[in-house]
Amino acid sequence: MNQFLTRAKILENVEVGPNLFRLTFEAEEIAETAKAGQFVMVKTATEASDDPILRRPFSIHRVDGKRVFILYKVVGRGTKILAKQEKEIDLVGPLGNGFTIPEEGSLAIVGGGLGIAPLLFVAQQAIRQGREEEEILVLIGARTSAEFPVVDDFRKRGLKVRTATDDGSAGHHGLVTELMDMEGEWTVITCGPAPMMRAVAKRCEEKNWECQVSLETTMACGMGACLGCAVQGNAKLEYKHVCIDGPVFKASDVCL
Amino acid sequence: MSVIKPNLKVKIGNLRLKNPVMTASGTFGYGREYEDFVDLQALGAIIVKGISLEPRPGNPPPRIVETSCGMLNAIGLENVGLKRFVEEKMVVLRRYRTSVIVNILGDTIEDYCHLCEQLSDVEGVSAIEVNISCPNVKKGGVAFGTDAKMINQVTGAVRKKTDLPLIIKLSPNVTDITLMARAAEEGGADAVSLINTLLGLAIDVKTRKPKLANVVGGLSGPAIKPVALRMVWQTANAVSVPVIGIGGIGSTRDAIEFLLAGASAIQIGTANFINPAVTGEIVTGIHDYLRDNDIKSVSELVGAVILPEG
Repeated sequence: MNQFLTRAKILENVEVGPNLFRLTFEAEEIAETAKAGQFVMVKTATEASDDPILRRPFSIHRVDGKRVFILYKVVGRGTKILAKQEKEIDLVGPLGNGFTIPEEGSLAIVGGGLGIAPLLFVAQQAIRQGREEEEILVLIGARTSAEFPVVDDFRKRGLKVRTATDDGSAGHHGLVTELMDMEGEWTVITCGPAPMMRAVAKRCEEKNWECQVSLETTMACGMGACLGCAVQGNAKLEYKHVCIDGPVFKASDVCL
Repeated sequence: MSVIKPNLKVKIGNLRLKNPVMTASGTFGYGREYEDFVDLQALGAIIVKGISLEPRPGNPPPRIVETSCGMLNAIGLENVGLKRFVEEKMVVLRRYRTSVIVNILGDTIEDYCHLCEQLSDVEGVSAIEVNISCPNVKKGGVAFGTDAKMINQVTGAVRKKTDLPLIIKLSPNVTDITLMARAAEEGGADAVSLINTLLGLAIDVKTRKPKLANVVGGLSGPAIKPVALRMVWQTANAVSVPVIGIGGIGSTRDAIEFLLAGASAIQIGTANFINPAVTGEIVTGIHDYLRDNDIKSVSELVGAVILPEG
């Protein structure tokens, strides 16, 4: 395995949208080895504090040289403390299994809300694998246009992006799945709220497209020891662990 | 100035360990999970995730919830079962040249006996830790771990099935843990380990539902350390077999506290989730503490707490 426990220097920790932050830190080993879809466990408590006790899992947003980016929303005590950190963070990673990005064929990246966090890295990796920008379709849904600060990061890379909002303030007025009107064979990679991923997976099933989902749960260790991050598999009494079996799953392998 | 190399070796019954630092069952997987972070060979022992005769799927999610300075878990004893443990996990564990202690769990005394019998023949198993702190028995659903008579019975029964050092892991969810420890000692235990988790509950005030699917769960982490330390101290004064201290240990200082309270060795649990390198750091920390304080052997610390006179 290739996992690192490190104290990384924070290069930037800025608010990029309402309660939405982008943290950039320097972690060469992680930047070099991470794959799209993998995550890091970040200690949010200040040094020598036992509270909050557990690390928080964040998917890697993208990497650039020695730099690693994560995108997070301030939702509770841990992320509130994280938003104030300026110097260093204590983290473990890269953890879990990433997306399997096919070498060829049409690739659709479907994100909802903060689910776009790992998807920029997917696009980055696909391009790095030699895929033309035009072969990648990015579909992003959100409640309202204010939640779209990262959309430009996709466009800047020359990717085709279509958006949908619940309130019609940007792009298509409706659900992101309504943008999935493509023809032909597609591999669909998705991350977002559970109802959205369910809908995406259903659409893929109808069209016979491969669908990979990235799941999120509460975790304690992030490395397969505590077994706390169980999710329902597709058989009765079958559990999968988001940290080691995932966080990326074939949609058909888990009960969304 | 003479530089002494402190002796960290400890003896638990017939079990000889290179140092008193072990991993608590269920917090260190089967060892391999931590090999990127800890020199496993440097540990006193690896105690593996509890094993039952047959694989167990565990409880439905959510299984864990964070609490103030601690966490509640209701994993439900998910494990790969004896067969896969022996055929897959043990093969890897043998490579680390560290003592491996197998934690076992069952629904009946017979289950425990079968597990002991079969594990006794497995190469590389150094000792058995019997988890009587979780499951229920056939007999009217009386929990093993909270009934001194049952503890005595199960200990006596497994004692007959193995010559391996036998550690009985005790539950803190009792009025007087020393009675449970004595029952284990009288049943033939080589050591007792304590404490397992404290039973707890957390409720989501928005949904009014318990935060764990299992409703209740076991509390662990720094939050339980003072309770654990008190119970270890009481137990060490009540039995003559070695006591292994567990409960909220996350630093060298915590570990030393348990030794002073009377623990002959310690287990590190929840702290592994927070700092995956913690076990190795505590081994080094104990070494440095002994060296800096001119203490020749870790055994000199065991029970060396200085109490007020009178």
